[in-house]
Amino acid sequence: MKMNFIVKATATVSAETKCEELDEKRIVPKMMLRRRLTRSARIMVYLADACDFREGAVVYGSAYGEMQATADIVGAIDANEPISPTAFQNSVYNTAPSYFSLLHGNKEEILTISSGDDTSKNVLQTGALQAVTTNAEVLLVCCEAINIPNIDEVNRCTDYLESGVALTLVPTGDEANVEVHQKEHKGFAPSLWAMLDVLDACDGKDGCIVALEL
Amino acid sequence: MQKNRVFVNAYESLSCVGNTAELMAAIYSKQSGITIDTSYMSEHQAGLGSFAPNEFFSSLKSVTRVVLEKSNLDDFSNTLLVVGSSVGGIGKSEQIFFKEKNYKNINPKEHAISVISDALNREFGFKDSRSISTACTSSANALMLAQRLINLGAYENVVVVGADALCYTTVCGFQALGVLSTQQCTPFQEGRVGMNVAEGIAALLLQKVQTDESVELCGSAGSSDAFHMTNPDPEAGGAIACMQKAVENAGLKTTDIDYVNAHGTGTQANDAVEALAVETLFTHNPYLSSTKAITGHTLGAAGALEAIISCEVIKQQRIAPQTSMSKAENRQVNLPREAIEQQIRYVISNSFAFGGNNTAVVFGAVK
Repeated sequence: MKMNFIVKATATVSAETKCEELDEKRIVPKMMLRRRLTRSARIMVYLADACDFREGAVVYGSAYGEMQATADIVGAIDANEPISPTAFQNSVYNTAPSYFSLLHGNKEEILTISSGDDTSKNVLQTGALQAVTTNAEVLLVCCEAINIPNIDEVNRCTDYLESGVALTLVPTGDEANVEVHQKEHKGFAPSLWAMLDVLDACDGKDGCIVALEL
Repeated sequence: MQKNRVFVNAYESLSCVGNTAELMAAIYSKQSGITIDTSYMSEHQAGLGSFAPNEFFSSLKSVTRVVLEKSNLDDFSNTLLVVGSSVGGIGKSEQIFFKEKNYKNINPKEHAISVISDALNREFGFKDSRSISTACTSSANALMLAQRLINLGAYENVVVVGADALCYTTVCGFQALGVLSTQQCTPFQEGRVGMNVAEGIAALLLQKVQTDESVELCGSAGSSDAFHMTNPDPEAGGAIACMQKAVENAGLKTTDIDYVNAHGTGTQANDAVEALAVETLFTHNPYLSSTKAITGHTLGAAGALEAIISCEVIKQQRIAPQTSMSKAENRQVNLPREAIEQQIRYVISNSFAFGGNNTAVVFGAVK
Protein backbone atom coordinates (compact mmCIF):
# COMPACT_ATOMS: atom_id res chain seq x y z
CA MET A 1 0.00 0.00 0.00
CA LYS A 2 1.46 3.35 -1.09
CA MET A 3 0.49 6.78 0.21
CA ASN A 4 1.78 10.27 -0.50
CA PHE A 5 3.77 12.49 1.84
CA ILE A 6 5.19 15.99 1.78
CA VAL A 7 8.90 15.96 2.63
CA LYS A 8 9.04 19.14 4.66
CA ALA A 9 12.68 19.14 5.72
CA THR A 10 15.83 17.15 5.10
CA ALA A 11 19.31 17.03 6.61
CA THR A 12 22.40 14.88 6.43
CA VAL A 13 25.82 14.76 8.02
CA SER A 14 28.83 12.48 7.64
CA ALA A 15 32.53 12.27 8.44
CA GLU A 16 35.24 9.73 7.82
CA THR A 17 35.96 9.62 11.55
CA LYS A 18 34.03 12.15 13.67
CA CYS A 19 31.41 14.81 12.85
CA GLU A 20 32.94 17.92 14.37
CA GLU A 21 30.41 20.72 13.84
CA LEU A 22 27.32 19.42 15.59
CA ASP A 23 26.61 22.71 17.43
CA GLU A 24 26.04 20.84 20.68
CA LYS A 25 26.43 23.80 23.05
CA ARG A 26 23.58 25.69 21.40
CA ILE A 27 21.32 22.69 20.82
CA VAL A 28 21.90 21.08 24.24
CA PRO A 29 22.58 23.99 26.61
CA LYS A 30 22.43 21.88 29.79
CA MET A 31 25.97 20.62 30.37
CA MET A 32 24.96 17.56 32.41
CA LEU A 33 22.68 16.32 29.65
CA ARG A 34 25.19 17.20 26.92
CA ARG A 35 27.93 15.19 28.64
CA ARG A 36 25.79 12.06 28.69
CA LEU A 37 24.91 12.10 24.99
CA THR A 38 26.26 9.28 22.86
CA ARG A 39 27.72 10.06 19.45
CA SER A 40 24.49 8.82 17.84
CA ALA A 41 22.47 11.08 20.11
CA ARG A 42 24.62 14.10 19.19
CA ILE A 43 24.09 13.39 15.50
CA MET A 44 20.37 12.80 16.04
CA VAL A 45 19.72 16.07 17.89
CA TYR A 46 21.81 17.95 15.31
CA LEU A 47 19.78 16.51 12.43
CA ALA A 48 16.47 17.14 14.22
CA ASP A 49 17.53 20.74 14.81
CA ALA A 50 18.45 21.10 11.15
CA CYS A 51 14.93 19.88 10.31
CA ASP A 52 13.49 22.37 12.85
CA PHE A 53 11.67 19.51 14.59
CA ARG A 54 11.13 19.49 18.36
CA GLU A 55 7.82 17.79 19.04
CA GLY A 56 5.99 14.87 17.47
CA ALA A 57 6.38 11.18 16.74
CA VAL A 58 9.90 10.01 15.94
CA VAL A 59 11.09 6.97 14.00
CA TYR A 60 14.78 6.31 14.42
CA GLY A 61 16.90 3.67 12.75
CA SER A 62 20.33 2.15 13.17
CA ALA A 63 21.66 -1.18 11.96
CA TYR A 64 24.32 -1.43 14.65
CA GLY A 65 23.05 0.76 17.49
CA GLU A 66 25.23 2.20 20.22
CA MET A 67 28.58 0.63 19.38
CA GLN A 68 30.73 2.56 21.86
CA ALA A 69 28.52 1.75 24.83
CA THR A 70 28.31 -1.89 23.78
CA ALA A 71 32.10 -2.12 23.36
CA ASP A 72 32.64 -0.45 26.74
CA ILE A 73 30.37 -2.95 28.49
CA VAL A 74 31.82 -6.05 26.85
CA GLY A 75 35.35 -4.75 27.43
CA ALA A 76 34.63 -4.14 31.12
CA ILE A 77 33.16 -7.62 31.58
CA ASP A 78 36.15 -9.19 29.86
CA ALA A 79 38.56 -7.21 32.07
CA ASN A 80 36.54 -8.03 35.18
CA GLU A 81 36.03 -4.32 35.78
CA PRO A 82 32.86 -2.55 36.91
CA ILE A 83 30.39 -1.66 34.16
CA SER A 84 29.46 1.99 33.93
CA PRO A 85 25.72 2.35 34.62
CA THR A 86 25.70 5.18 32.08
CA ALA A 87 27.23 2.89 29.45
CA PHE A 88 24.50 0.33 30.09
CA GLN A 89 21.64 2.82 29.94
CA ASN A 90 23.19 4.24 26.76
CA SER A 91 23.54 0.83 25.10
CA VAL A 92 19.93 0.37 23.97
CA TYR A 93 19.01 1.11 20.35
CA ASN A 94 16.50 3.81 21.33
CA THR A 95 19.12 5.84 23.23
CA ALA A 96 19.46 8.64 20.67
CA PRO A 97 15.75 9.43 20.19
CA SER A 98 15.22 9.12 23.95
CA TYR A 99 17.78 11.86 24.55
CA PHE A 100 15.95 13.89 21.90
CA SER A 101 12.71 13.47 23.89
CA LEU A 102 14.50 14.45 27.12
CA LEU A 103 16.00 17.51 25.46
CA HIS A 104 12.72 18.87 24.15
CA GLY A 105 10.22 17.39 26.60
CA ASN A 106 8.71 15.48 23.67
CA LYS A 107 6.22 12.92 25.01
CA GLU A 108 5.11 11.47 21.68
CA GLU A 109 5.79 7.92 20.44
CA ILE A 110 9.32 6.82 19.59
CA LEU A 111 9.95 3.73 17.47
CA THR A 112 13.42 2.44 16.69
CA ILE A 113 14.08 0.20 13.71
CA SER A 114 17.11 -2.03 13.27
CA SER A 115 16.75 -4.07 10.09
CA GLY A 116 20.31 -4.42 8.87
CA ASP A 117 20.86 -3.03 5.36
CA ASP A 118 17.09 -2.43 5.09
CA THR A 119 17.02 -0.16 8.13
CA SER A 120 16.30 3.16 6.41
CA LYS A 121 13.85 1.49 4.01
CA ASN A 122 11.93 0.26 7.05
CA VAL A 123 12.30 3.63 8.78
CA LEU A 124 10.60 5.22 5.74
CA GLN A 125 7.80 2.64 5.84
CA THR A 126 7.31 2.96 9.58
CA GLY A 127 7.57 6.76 9.48
CA ALA A 128 4.94 6.84 6.75
CA LEU A 129 2.67 4.64 8.90
CA GLN A 130 3.19 6.89 11.92
CA ALA A 131 2.45 10.01 9.86
CA VAL A 132 -0.82 8.47 8.65
CA THR A 133 -1.67 7.27 12.18
CA THR A 134 -1.01 10.62 13.85
CA ASN A 135 -1.97 12.78 10.83
CA ALA A 136 0.92 15.04 11.78
CA GLU A 137 4.54 15.74 10.91
CA VAL A 138 6.86 12.88 11.86
CA LEU A 139 10.65 12.97 12.17
CA LEU A 140 12.65 10.13 10.59
CA VAL A 141 16.34 9.75 11.43
CA CYS A 142 18.80 7.05 10.45
CA CYS A 143 22.27 7.08 11.94
CA GLU A 144 25.39 4.93 12.19
CA ALA A 145 28.13 5.91 14.65
CA ILE A 146 30.77 3.19 14.64
CA ASN A 147 33.90 5.23 15.36
CA ILE A 148 35.25 2.98 18.10
CA PRO A 149 38.80 1.67 18.58
CA ASN A 150 39.64 -1.25 16.28
CA ILE A 151 36.45 -0.97 14.25
CA ASP A 152 38.54 -1.59 11.15
CA GLU A 153 38.70 -5.23 12.28
CA VAL A 154 35.05 -5.61 11.24
CA ASN A 155 33.98 -2.56 9.24
CA ARG A 156 33.38 -3.54 5.61
CA CYS A 157 30.31 -1.41 4.98
CA THR A 158 31.17 2.29 5.16
CA ASP A 159 33.87 4.90 4.60
CA TYR A 160 32.08 7.19 7.07
CA LEU A 161 32.41 6.06 10.68
CA GLU A 162 29.79 8.66 11.59
CA SER A 163 26.85 9.42 9.34
CA GLY A 164 23.21 10.32 9.59
CA VAL A 165 20.24 11.33 7.50
CA ALA A 166 16.93 12.88 8.54
CA LEU A 167 13.69 14.05 7.00
CA THR A 168 10.21 14.97 8.14
CA LEU A 169 7.02 13.66 6.55
CA VAL A 170 3.48 15.02 6.50
CA PRO A 171 0.66 13.00 4.91
CA THR A 172 -1.06 14.60 1.94
CA GLY A 173 -3.85 13.84 -0.50
CA ASP A 174 -1.92 15.52 -3.31
CA GLU A 175 -0.16 13.58 -6.05
CA ALA A 176 3.53 12.71 -5.82
CA ASN A 177 5.65 15.18 -7.79
CA VAL A 178 9.02 13.42 -7.67
CA GLU A 179 10.12 9.85 -8.25
CA VAL A 180 12.50 8.15 -5.85
CA HIS A 181 15.17 6.03 -7.53
CA GLN A 182 17.21 3.43 -5.71
CA LYS A 183 20.95 3.76 -6.07
CA GLU A 184 24.22 2.96 -4.39
CA HIS A 185 25.44 5.79 -2.16
CA LYS A 186 29.14 5.14 -2.29
CA GLY A 187 30.88 5.38 1.05
CA PHE A 188 27.69 5.36 3.14
CA ALA A 189 26.47 2.34 5.06
CA PRO A 190 23.70 0.57 3.09
CA SER A 191 21.43 1.01 6.11
CA LEU A 192 21.14 4.71 5.14
CA TRP A 193 20.65 4.34 1.40
CA ALA A 194 16.85 4.35 1.10
CA MET A 195 16.54 7.63 2.98
CA LEU A 196 19.41 9.11 0.99
CA ASP A 197 17.43 8.15 -2.15
CA VAL A 198 14.56 10.35 -0.91
CA LEU A 199 16.95 13.21 -0.14
CA ASP A 200 18.36 12.97 -3.65
CA ALA A 201 14.86 13.01 -5.17
CA CYS A 202 13.89 16.09 -3.15
CA ASP A 203 17.19 17.91 -3.48
CA GLY A 204 16.48 21.64 -3.66
CA LYS A 205 12.77 21.18 -4.45
CA ASP A 206 10.15 22.99 -2.37
CA GLY A 207 6.90 21.13 -1.81
CA CYS A 208 8.44 17.78 -2.64
CA ILE A 209 5.81 15.01 -2.47
CA VAL A 210 6.84 11.35 -2.53
CA ALA A 211 4.87 8.12 -2.65
CA LEU A 212 5.96 5.74 0.09
CA GLU A 213 5.10 2.14 0.83
CA LEU A 214 3.61 1.54 4.30
CA MET B 1 -11.60 5.46 6.91
CA GLN B 2 -13.05 2.10 8.02
CA LYS B 3 -10.42 0.26 10.05
CA ASN B 4 -9.93 -3.48 9.71
CA ARG B 5 -10.26 -5.39 12.96
CA VAL B 6 -7.17 -7.31 14.11
CA PHE B 7 -7.36 -10.85 15.44
CA VAL B 8 -4.73 -12.89 17.25
CA ASN B 9 -5.29 -16.30 15.67
CA ALA B 10 -2.31 -18.43 16.73
CA TYR B 11 0.60 -18.17 19.10
CA GLU B 12 3.34 -20.09 20.88
CA SER B 13 6.11 -19.25 23.30
CA LEU B 14 9.14 -20.56 25.12
CA SER B 15 10.26 -19.22 28.47
CA CYS B 16 12.01 -20.57 31.54
CA VAL B 17 8.84 -22.47 32.45
CA GLY B 18 8.41 -24.08 29.05
CA ASN B 19 5.87 -23.66 26.24
CA THR B 20 2.62 -21.71 26.44
CA ALA B 21 0.60 -24.51 28.03
CA GLU B 22 3.33 -25.01 30.64
CA LEU B 23 3.57 -21.26 31.13
CA MET B 24 -0.10 -20.87 31.97
CA ALA B 25 -0.01 -23.90 34.26
CA ALA B 26 2.95 -22.33 36.07
CA ILE B 27 1.22 -18.95 36.34
CA TYR B 28 -2.01 -20.37 37.76
CA SER B 29 -0.18 -22.68 40.18
CA LYS B 30 2.31 -19.92 41.09
CA GLN B 31 5.38 -22.01 40.21
CA SER B 32 8.24 -19.72 39.25
CA GLY B 33 10.82 -20.75 36.66
CA ILE B 34 13.52 -18.51 38.12
CA THR B 35 16.73 -20.19 39.26
CA ILE B 36 19.55 -18.74 41.33
CA ASP B 37 22.60 -18.50 39.14
CA THR B 38 26.26 -17.51 39.37
CA SER B 39 27.36 -18.43 35.84
CA TYR B 40 27.30 -14.84 34.56
CA MET B 41 28.78 -13.24 37.69
CA SER B 42 30.91 -15.58 39.77
CA GLU B 43 30.92 -13.20 42.75
CA HIS B 44 27.20 -12.41 42.70
CA GLN B 45 24.06 -14.51 42.79
CA ALA B 46 21.28 -13.52 40.46
CA GLY B 47 17.79 -14.85 39.93
CA LEU B 48 17.63 -15.63 36.20
CA GLY B 49 15.16 -17.24 33.83
CA SER B 50 16.81 -19.61 31.35
CA PHE B 51 15.30 -22.08 28.91
CA ALA B 52 18.55 -24.04 28.56
CA PRO B 53 19.32 -26.63 27.29
CA ASN B 54 17.10 -25.40 24.44
CA GLU B 55 19.33 -23.51 21.98
CA PHE B 56 18.11 -19.99 21.12
CA PHE B 57 18.02 -20.01 17.32
CA SER B 58 16.68 -23.54 16.92
CA SER B 59 14.02 -22.68 19.53
CA LEU B 60 13.20 -19.49 17.63
CA LYS B 61 12.44 -21.52 14.53
CA SER B 62 10.55 -24.21 16.45
CA VAL B 63 8.29 -21.71 18.19
CA THR B 64 7.53 -19.94 14.91
CA ARG B 65 6.87 -23.25 13.18
CA VAL B 66 4.28 -24.14 15.83
CA VAL B 67 2.49 -20.87 15.04
CA LEU B 68 2.44 -21.78 11.33
CA GLU B 69 1.11 -25.26 12.16
CA LYS B 70 -1.64 -23.78 14.36
CA SER B 71 -2.58 -21.22 11.69
CA ASN B 72 -4.89 -21.27 8.68
CA LEU B 73 -1.88 -20.57 6.39
CA ASP B 74 0.07 -23.01 4.23
CA ASP B 75 3.20 -20.88 4.53
CA PHE B 76 4.30 -17.33 5.38
CA SER B 77 4.90 -16.16 1.80
CA ASN B 78 2.10 -13.57 2.09
CA THR B 79 2.91 -12.61 5.67
CA LEU B 80 4.91 -9.74 7.14
CA LEU B 81 7.32 -10.56 9.95
CA VAL B 82 7.83 -7.93 12.66
CA VAL B 83 10.49 -8.79 15.22
CA GLY B 84 11.00 -7.10 18.58
CA SER B 85 14.35 -7.67 20.28
CA SER B 86 16.66 -5.69 22.51
CA VAL B 87 19.89 -7.67 22.21
CA GLY B 88 19.76 -9.46 18.84
CA GLY B 89 22.99 -11.37 18.32
CA ILE B 90 25.16 -9.74 20.96
CA GLY B 91 25.56 -13.00 22.88
CA LYS B 92 27.57 -14.53 20.04
CA SER B 93 29.71 -11.39 19.72
CA GLU B 94 30.44 -11.56 23.46
CA GLN B 95 31.61 -15.16 23.21
CA ILE B 96 33.97 -14.37 20.32
CA PHE B 97 35.38 -11.27 22.00
CA PHE B 98 35.91 -12.97 25.36
CA LYS B 99 37.79 -15.78 23.63
CA GLU B 100 39.78 -13.87 21.01
CA LYS B 101 40.08 -10.38 22.60
CA ASN B 102 39.38 -8.70 19.28
CA TYR B 103 36.50 -8.16 16.83
CA LYS B 104 38.03 -9.86 13.78
CA ASN B 105 35.76 -12.89 13.69
CA ILE B 106 32.58 -11.07 14.67
CA ASN B 107 30.17 -11.03 11.75
CA PRO B 108 28.32 -7.66 11.94
CA LYS B 109 25.19 -9.24 10.45
CA GLU B 110 25.16 -11.83 13.24
CA HIS B 111 25.73 -9.14 15.88
CA ALA B 112 22.82 -6.93 14.83
CA ILE B 113 19.19 -7.07 15.96
CA SER B 114 18.26 -8.22 12.44
CA VAL B 115 19.99 -11.57 12.97
CA ILE B 116 16.63 -12.81 14.29
CA SER B 117 14.56 -11.76 11.27
CA ASP B 118 17.33 -13.00 8.96
CA ALA B 119 17.16 -16.47 10.56
CA LEU B 120 13.36 -16.58 10.33
CA ASN B 121 13.34 -15.30 6.75
CA ARG B 122 15.76 -18.02 5.70
CA GLU B 123 13.60 -20.68 7.36
CA PHE B 124 10.12 -19.49 6.38
CA GLY B 125 10.42 -17.05 3.46
CA PHE B 126 8.28 -14.21 4.80
CA LYS B 127 6.98 -11.65 2.29
CA ASP B 128 8.87 -8.89 4.09
CA SER B 129 10.22 -8.18 7.55
CA ARG B 130 11.05 -5.40 9.99
CA SER B 131 12.86 -5.35 13.31
CA ILE B 132 12.08 -3.03 16.19
CA SER B 133 14.47 -2.43 19.05
CA THR B 134 13.18 -0.15 21.78
CA ALA B 135 14.66 -2.12 24.69
CA CYS B 136 11.94 -3.69 26.87
CA THR B 137 9.04 -2.37 24.76
CA SER B 138 10.42 -3.87 21.54
CA SER B 139 7.83 -6.57 20.92
CA ALA B 140 4.96 -4.53 22.38
CA ASN B 141 5.82 -1.91 19.78
CA ALA B 142 6.00 -4.68 17.16
CA LEU B 143 2.41 -5.57 18.08
CA MET B 144 1.39 -1.92 17.83
CA LEU B 145 2.99 -1.61 14.40
CA ALA B 146 1.31 -4.83 13.23
CA GLN B 147 -2.10 -3.65 14.45
CA ARG B 148 -1.80 -0.38 12.56
CA LEU B 149 -0.71 -2.09 9.33
CA ILE B 150 -3.68 -4.47 9.44
CA ASN B 151 -6.06 -1.65 10.50
CA LEU B 152 -5.10 0.27 7.35
CA GLY B 153 -5.16 -2.75 5.05
CA ALA B 154 -1.46 -2.71 4.23
CA TYR B 155 -1.20 -6.38 5.29
CA GLU B 156 -3.69 -9.14 6.07
CA ASN B 157 -1.26 -11.41 7.95
CA VAL B 158 1.51 -10.32 10.30
CA VAL B 159 3.64 -12.56 12.51
CA VAL B 160 5.06 -10.73 15.53
CA VAL B 161 8.04 -12.37 17.20
CA GLY B 162 9.56 -11.16 20.46
CA ALA B 163 12.89 -12.81 21.17
CA ASP B 164 15.80 -12.19 23.50
CA ALA B 165 18.45 -14.55 24.83
CA LEU B 166 20.33 -14.24 28.10
CA CYS B 167 23.75 -12.65 27.70
CA TYR B 168 26.48 -11.11 29.82
CA THR B 169 25.70 -7.57 28.69
CA THR B 170 22.17 -7.56 30.06
CA VAL B 171 22.79 -9.61 33.22
CA CYS B 172 25.89 -7.64 34.22
CA GLY B 173 24.38 -4.38 32.99
CA PHE B 174 21.31 -4.62 35.20
CA GLN B 175 23.63 -5.62 38.06
CA ALA B 176 25.56 -2.38 37.44
CA LEU B 177 22.31 -0.45 37.76
CA GLY B 178 21.74 -2.16 41.12
CA VAL B 179 18.33 -3.55 40.19
CA LEU B 180 19.01 -7.32 39.98
CA SER B 181 17.42 -9.51 42.61
CA THR B 182 19.44 -12.36 44.07
CA GLN B 183 16.19 -14.28 44.51
CA GLN B 184 12.91 -14.75 42.66
CA CYS B 185 11.52 -11.26 42.09
CA THR B 186 8.51 -10.03 44.06
CA PRO B 187 6.54 -7.53 41.97
CA PHE B 188 4.46 -4.98 43.90
CA GLN B 189 5.67 -6.39 47.24
CA GLU B 190 6.59 -3.94 49.97
CA GLY B 191 10.39 -3.92 50.29
CA ARG B 192 11.00 -5.70 46.97
CA VAL B 193 14.65 -5.80 45.93
CA GLY B 194 14.73 -6.03 42.14
CA MET B 195 14.18 -7.90 38.92
CA ASN B 196 15.13 -11.21 37.28
CA VAL B 197 16.65 -11.07 33.79
CA ALA B 198 15.33 -13.90 31.62
CA GLU B 199 15.20 -15.17 28.08
CA GLY B 200 12.09 -15.74 26.06
CA ILE B 201 10.64 -16.28 22.61
CA ALA B 202 7.04 -15.48 21.76
CA ALA B 203 5.36 -15.53 18.36
CA LEU B 204 1.82 -14.42 17.47
CA LEU B 205 -0.05 -14.49 14.16
CA LEU B 206 -2.22 -11.39 13.72
CA GLN B 207 -4.76 -11.43 10.92
CA LYS B 208 -7.59 -9.48 9.38
CA VAL B 209 -9.76 -12.61 9.34
CA GLN B 210 -11.51 -13.95 12.42
CA THR B 211 -11.35 -17.64 13.37
CA ASP B 212 -12.88 -19.78 16.10
CA GLU B 213 -9.70 -19.33 18.15
CA SER B 214 -9.47 -15.54 17.80
CA VAL B 215 -8.78 -13.02 20.51
CA GLU B 216 -9.05 -9.44 19.30
CA LEU B 217 -6.16 -6.99 19.47
CA CYS B 218 -8.41 -4.00 20.05
CA GLY B 219 -6.02 -1.12 20.62
CA SER B 220 -2.52 0.04 21.37
CA ALA B 221 -0.58 3.22 21.98
CA GLY B 222 2.80 4.51 23.01
CA SER B 223 4.22 7.51 24.82
CA SER B 224 7.51 8.90 26.05
CA ASP B 225 8.21 10.01 29.61
CA ALA B 226 10.77 12.67 28.57
CA PHE B 227 11.96 12.38 32.17
CA HIS B 228 15.06 10.18 32.62
CA MET B 229 16.92 7.47 30.69
CA THR B 230 16.23 4.70 33.21
CA ASN B 231 13.94 6.02 35.95
CA PRO B 232 10.24 6.39 35.20
CA ASP B 233 8.39 9.65 35.69
CA PRO B 234 7.41 9.45 39.41
CA GLU B 235 4.07 11.08 38.61
CA ALA B 236 3.42 8.26 36.11
CA GLY B 237 2.49 10.67 33.34
CA GLY B 238 3.93 8.54 30.53
CA ALA B 239 2.43 5.28 31.82
CA ILE B 240 -1.00 6.85 32.26
CA ALA B 241 -0.84 8.50 28.83
CA CYS B 242 -0.05 5.30 26.93
CA MET B 243 -2.72 3.26 28.76
CA GLN B 244 -5.33 5.99 28.27
CA LYS B 245 -4.53 6.29 24.57
CA ALA B 246 -4.56 2.51 24.10
CA VAL B 247 -8.02 2.27 25.69
CA GLU B 248 -9.22 5.13 23.47
CA ASN B 249 -7.66 3.48 20.42
CA ALA B 250 -9.67 0.36 21.28
CA GLY B 251 -12.87 2.44 21.38
CA LEU B 252 -13.35 1.56 25.04
CA LYS B 253 -13.76 3.27 28.40
CA THR B 254 -11.29 2.64 31.20
CA THR B 255 -14.08 0.88 33.13
CA ASP B 256 -14.21 -1.78 30.40
CA ILE B 257 -10.80 -3.15 31.45
CA ASP B 258 -11.12 -6.23 33.67
CA TYR B 259 -7.46 -7.08 34.15
CA VAL B 260 -4.14 -5.25 33.84
CA ASN B 261 -1.18 -7.46 32.94
CA ALA B 262 1.53 -5.32 34.46
CA HIS B 263 5.03 -4.62 33.26
CA GLY B 264 5.78 -5.29 36.95
CA THR B 265 9.51 -5.93 36.90
CA GLY B 266 9.95 -6.05 40.65
CA THR B 267 12.15 -2.95 40.81
CA GLN B 268 11.31 -0.26 43.32
CA ALA B 269 10.87 2.45 40.72
CA ASN B 270 8.86 0.58 38.07
CA ASP B 271 6.29 -1.04 40.32
CA ALA B 272 5.60 2.06 42.42
CA VAL B 273 4.99 4.16 39.32
CA GLU B 274 2.97 1.50 37.51
CA ALA B 275 0.74 0.89 40.53
CA LEU B 276 0.20 4.66 40.81
CA ALA B 277 -0.69 4.81 37.09
CA VAL B 278 -3.20 1.95 37.38
CA GLU B 279 -4.67 3.39 40.57
CA THR B 280 -5.05 6.81 38.94
CA LEU B 281 -6.47 5.74 35.58
CA PHE B 282 -8.58 2.71 36.46
CA THR B 283 -10.73 3.99 39.31
CA HIS B 284 -13.01 0.91 39.14
CA ASN B 285 -10.10 -1.11 40.58
CA PRO B 286 -9.56 -3.93 38.04
CA TYR B 287 -7.29 -6.83 38.90
CA LEU B 288 -3.58 -6.16 38.39
CA SER B 289 -0.73 -8.66 38.39
CA SER B 290 2.77 -9.18 37.01
CA THR B 291 3.67 -12.57 35.59
CA LYS B 292 7.39 -11.73 35.73
CA ALA B 293 7.52 -13.49 39.10
CA ILE B 294 7.06 -16.66 37.00
CA THR B 295 8.97 -15.87 33.79
CA GLY B 296 11.41 -13.18 34.84
CA HIS B 297 11.83 -10.15 32.62
CA THR B 298 12.36 -11.36 29.08
CA LEU B 299 13.33 -7.82 27.94
CA GLY B 300 12.49 -7.30 24.27
CA ALA B 301 10.38 -10.47 24.24
CA ALA B 302 8.26 -9.44 27.21
CA GLY B 303 5.58 -7.54 25.30
CA ALA B 304 4.88 -10.49 23.00
CA LEU B 305 5.10 -13.08 25.79
CA GLU B 306 2.69 -11.12 27.97
CA ALA B 307 0.40 -10.58 24.99
CA ILE B 308 0.10 -14.38 24.82
CA ILE B 309 -0.58 -14.49 28.56
CA SER B 310 -3.26 -11.82 28.11
CA CYS B 311 -4.90 -13.85 25.31
CA GLU B 312 -4.85 -16.97 27.50
CA VAL B 313 -6.40 -15.07 30.42
CA ILE B 314 -9.25 -14.07 28.10
CA LYS B 315 -9.64 -17.57 26.64
CA GLN B 316 -9.58 -19.28 30.03
CA GLN B 317 -11.62 -16.47 31.69
CA ARG B 318 -9.21 -16.72 34.58
CA ILE B 319 -7.19 -13.87 36.12
CA ALA B 320 -3.45 -14.52 36.63
CA PRO B 321 -2.55 -14.34 40.33
CA GLN B 322 0.26 -12.25 41.76
CA THR B 323 2.96 -14.72 42.76
CA SER B 324 5.47 -13.99 45.52
CA MET B 325 3.62 -11.20 47.23
CA SER B 326 2.68 -11.29 50.89
CA LYS B 327 2.29 -7.57 51.61
CA ALA B 328 1.51 -5.11 48.84
CA GLU B 329 3.27 -1.75 48.81
CA ASN B 330 0.29 0.00 47.23
CA ARG B 331 -2.93 -1.07 48.94
CA GLN B 332 -5.10 0.88 46.50
CA VAL B 333 -4.55 -1.55 43.62
CA ASN B 334 -6.30 -4.91 43.34
CA LEU B 335 -3.61 -7.61 43.38
CA PRO B 336 -5.16 -11.12 43.31
CA ARG B 337 -3.42 -13.62 45.59
CA GLU B 338 -4.93 -16.59 43.74
CA ALA B 339 -6.28 -17.25 40.25
CA ILE B 340 -9.80 -15.87 39.90
CA GLU B 341 -12.44 -17.15 37.51
CA GLN B 342 -14.74 -14.41 36.28
CA GLN B 343 -16.01 -12.83 33.09
CA ILE B 344 -13.06 -11.13 31.39
CA ARG B 345 -13.91 -8.91 28.45
CA TYR B 346 -10.81 -6.78 28.06
CA VAL B 347 -7.19 -6.98 29.22
CA ILE B 348 -4.53 -4.30 28.95
CA SER B 349 -0.86 -5.32 28.88
CA ASN B 350 1.85 -2.80 29.75
CA SER B 351 5.47 -2.56 28.65
CA PHE B 352 7.91 0.13 29.77
CA ALA B 353 11.52 0.61 28.70
CA PHE B 354 14.75 2.56 29.04
CA GLY B 355 14.47 6.02 27.57
CA GLY B 356 10.98 6.39 29.06
CA ASN B 357 9.48 4.40 26.19
CA ASN B 358 5.97 3.21 27.15
CA THR B 359 3.53 0.97 25.25
CA ALA B 360 0.17 -0.50 26.18
CA VAL B 361 -1.82 -3.08 24.19
CA VAL B 362 -5.50 -3.94 24.72
CA PHE B 363 -6.92 -7.40 23.99
CA GLY B 364 -10.57 -8.42 24.03
CA ALA B 365 -12.85 -11.42 23.84
CA VAL B 366 -14.30 -11.56 20.33
CA LYS B 367 -17.89 -10.34 20.05
